[in-house]
Amino acid sequence: MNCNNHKHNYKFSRRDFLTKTSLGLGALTVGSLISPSNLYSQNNFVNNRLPHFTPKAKRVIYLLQSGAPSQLDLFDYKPLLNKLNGTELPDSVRGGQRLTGMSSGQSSFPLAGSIFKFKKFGKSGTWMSELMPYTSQIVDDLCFIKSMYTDAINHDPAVTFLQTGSELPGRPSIGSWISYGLGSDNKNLPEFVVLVTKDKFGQPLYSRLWGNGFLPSKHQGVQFRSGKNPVLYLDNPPGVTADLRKEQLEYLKKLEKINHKDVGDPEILSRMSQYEMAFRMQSSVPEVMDVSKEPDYIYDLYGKESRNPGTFAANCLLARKLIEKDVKFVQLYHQGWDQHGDLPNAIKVQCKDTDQPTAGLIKDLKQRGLLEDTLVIWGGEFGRGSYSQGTLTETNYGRDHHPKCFTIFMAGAGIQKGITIGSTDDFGYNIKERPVHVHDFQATLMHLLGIDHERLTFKHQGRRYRLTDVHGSVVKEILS
Amino acid sequence: MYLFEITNFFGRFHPLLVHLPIGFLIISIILSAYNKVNNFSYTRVLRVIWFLSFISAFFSALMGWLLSQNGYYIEEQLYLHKLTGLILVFLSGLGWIFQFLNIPKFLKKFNNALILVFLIVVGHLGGNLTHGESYLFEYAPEPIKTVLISKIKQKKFEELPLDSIGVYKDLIYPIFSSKCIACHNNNIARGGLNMSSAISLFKGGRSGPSIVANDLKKSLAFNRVTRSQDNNQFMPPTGTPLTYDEIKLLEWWINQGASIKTSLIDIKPDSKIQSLLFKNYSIDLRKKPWYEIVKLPAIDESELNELDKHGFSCKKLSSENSLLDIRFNGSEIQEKDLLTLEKYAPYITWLNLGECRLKDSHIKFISKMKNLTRLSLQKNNLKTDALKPLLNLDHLEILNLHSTKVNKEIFELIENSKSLKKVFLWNTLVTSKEINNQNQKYEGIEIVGNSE
Ligand code: HEC
Repeated sequence: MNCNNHKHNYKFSRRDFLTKTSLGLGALTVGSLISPSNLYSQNNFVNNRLPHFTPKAKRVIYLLQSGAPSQLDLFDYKPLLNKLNGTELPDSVRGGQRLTGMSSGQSSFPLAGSIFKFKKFGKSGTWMSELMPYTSQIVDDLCFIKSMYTDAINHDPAVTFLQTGSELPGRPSIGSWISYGLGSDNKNLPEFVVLVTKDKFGQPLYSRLWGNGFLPSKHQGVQFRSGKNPVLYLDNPPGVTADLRKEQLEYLKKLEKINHKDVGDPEILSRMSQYEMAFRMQSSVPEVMDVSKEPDYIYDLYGKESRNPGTFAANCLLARKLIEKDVKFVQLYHQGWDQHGDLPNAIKVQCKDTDQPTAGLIKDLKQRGLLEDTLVIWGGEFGRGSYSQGTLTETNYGRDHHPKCFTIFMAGAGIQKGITIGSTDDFGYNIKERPVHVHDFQATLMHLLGIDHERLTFKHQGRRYRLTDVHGSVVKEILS
Repeated sequence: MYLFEITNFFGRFHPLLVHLPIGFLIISIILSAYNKVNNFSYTRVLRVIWFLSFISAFFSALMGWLLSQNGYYIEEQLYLHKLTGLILVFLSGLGWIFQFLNIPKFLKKFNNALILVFLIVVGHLGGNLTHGESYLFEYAPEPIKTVLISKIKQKKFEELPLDSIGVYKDLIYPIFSSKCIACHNNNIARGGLNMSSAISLFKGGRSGPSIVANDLKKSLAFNRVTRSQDNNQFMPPTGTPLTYDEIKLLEWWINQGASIKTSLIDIKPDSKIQSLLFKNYSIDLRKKPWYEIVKLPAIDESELNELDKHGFSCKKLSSENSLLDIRFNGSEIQEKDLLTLEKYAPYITWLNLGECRLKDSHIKFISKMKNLTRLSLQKNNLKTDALKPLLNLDHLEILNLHSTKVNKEIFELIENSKSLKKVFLWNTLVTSKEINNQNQKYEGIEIVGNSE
């Protein structure tokens, strides 16, 4: 790492030093810049100016549904599509909207109504399709946004955009920004943990989606896997005892302190703290990953798949355990929602995997009082279109990508319960009311955590970056 | 984007400047025609111009008066425009007459100065009438805008005390005044309805009262704005219809008794209206939580490292709020830990002592933290009796007792507390039936038990 002498890796560069000292007032701050007590402090306050205001949420669970679930078959009830089933999508509705290469060659765009039945649920009277019987039971705890939209029309740019605020890879993920901004509440576990459903196929997920980008590397998401080694390369090699490892780290720390004094590379400190974190994780990770003590009725709440490690249900259960231990940001990924063809059958499988665990998780958080300060988010990277991709039959159809509107839901800290905001037109194609852009969603997420999205910045390659770039405004009306 | 705004800013001066060449060109043509016949002296040229100015001002005022009869304009704005317009006609008449009289020069100069002032005022008021008040400066660069528009635009509600925001005066009337009054005013009352004052609004028009308290169906003004837009009874027949939020606000006001005097403090809006007010007017009606109200001097953060050593993690609520959010991370808490914690008692507002073998005897330390608003004691072997000291906490709102040994006697404590809003009793000795019974009993306190 030490040979990686890029300017931005230094706590302060020669140029910074000169400008700071020559600027009079700067001469004062330089004192604090080089004060060793500051450099080595294990202070919880990563940044004294954060949180900017009192947070409503202290932790986040983000259930990312990769591949883009069809809002038209799950939440956004459009009886007109059933009435006009098979007729052409009017040009006036499409309004010249670009299509993906997968359906742009189609000679006809027949409207496809959902074959699933919709009903109103709860005191809030929220429409839900029969695909989500469990989630339907808790709609009064949820807040739906039916008017989300995004810029990208293909998966990779769209999911990158959702996670990092930019379609181009390389920016920090939301969880990394939060970790950088707010620091840790539990020194034995990482701030940002990632759980990916095992054995799923579909749109690829790369570790850069939970990467730290240009932020210090200790802010990257740490993936916990199912099975014997939840965190790769964490365990001591055979023959090395915990005491031995501890002693080794003590010596290493001494050496690295000297090293840091000489070169001043902050990445040295980052690394040391990661070594120490890894050491503590050797005992803390097996402890949280151990679900054997969970009673049967908890497994029943999340569904029987929750006994099978690595499934979405098991990951939901783990997410709760991590949240109980004050991990700040837990990100789940579940692939397989990309239903271009054979949607009716494929979506049933997806819902079977996710519906009960999602509802179970929210109920479990609620009864433990955790929903008071935990925010749960469920949603994909864009929506699906109202015309059929491929041939439309009585019982089968497919849906192509649709960035112009989609639905997500949230629950928990700081969010109003049992409300729906935004709506789409009768074709489910355009937003009618209260558009919410991905950047608005990100701004709102940060707001709930006590962060002003315009003020959490990081200077990199000469300019300040932020999650929402130069956009985004908080969706005030969903705040409780 | 910036370029667009700048070009738009200047673009909006078009209707203002376009009148100048019209006048100048006509005058040039007339004067050059005269010049052929007779070589005018400078004085005569001036007389001709003054005459033309007066006559054109007179006739444009006359036409303006005729135009105002259609009732499409907002009465108050119209009145000022009319008044200043008439003065301007008068002054320009004077200016013309002065050309023939031998009066002191300073009087003429004074008159000219007055004319200039009135010209600008009348022109601007007229422009506002046709294009809307913010038309001219909507795209002005930010500094100009803050100086000019903030005064014109609606009140800044966030700085006002709630009792000075009148529901009718500040929320409902502005809707009518921007979207209805053009056609329903003192001069022109279409359908017999004049909405410019509350009395005439209630009286209504030809078909009866337009607002009937607590009765949406009979309130014609509500009825007409909620019809289908194709319906020829739909109001307003031209121009921008009411927005969804405006209709909701009107509906709420009528349902609340349609009083013209109540302020926001007198009627408590439900959550939907609250969020609508927050979104559109930045009026925040939600009661501030206690931890946002108490203000204590900041603690030196290095002092808090002491808590770190005792196994507590500790955070200030925010950079602006010095109250503390504390959690115990160890597996077993000791009295000495709590004694250290006690030093910071007034600062602690959120406290999590879950799953740390907290003993009944430890509760007394907690009861000294008078600014505590959230307390989590889950997963400890606590009994109901031991929790009594918590009644000393006047601001405790959320109490988490899940997986403890409390029984139904806890309801007594809940009833005696003045501040509790939420209590978590899942996985305790309290049965879900007992909780259900209790939940029906009191309002304002939510008790969470088993998820079923
Ligand atoms: C462009 C002119 C215009 C505007 C703007 C307008 N109205 Fe009217 N309004 C009329 C005319 C003309 C009538 C009479 C014909 C009719 O009854 O439809 C009328 C009639 C009415 C009546 C029925 C009066 C009665 O007793 O018969 C009501 C109520 C009414 N308007 C309400 C409103 C409201 C509320 C607004 C603002 C949202 C509004 N109007 C805006 C032109 C207008």
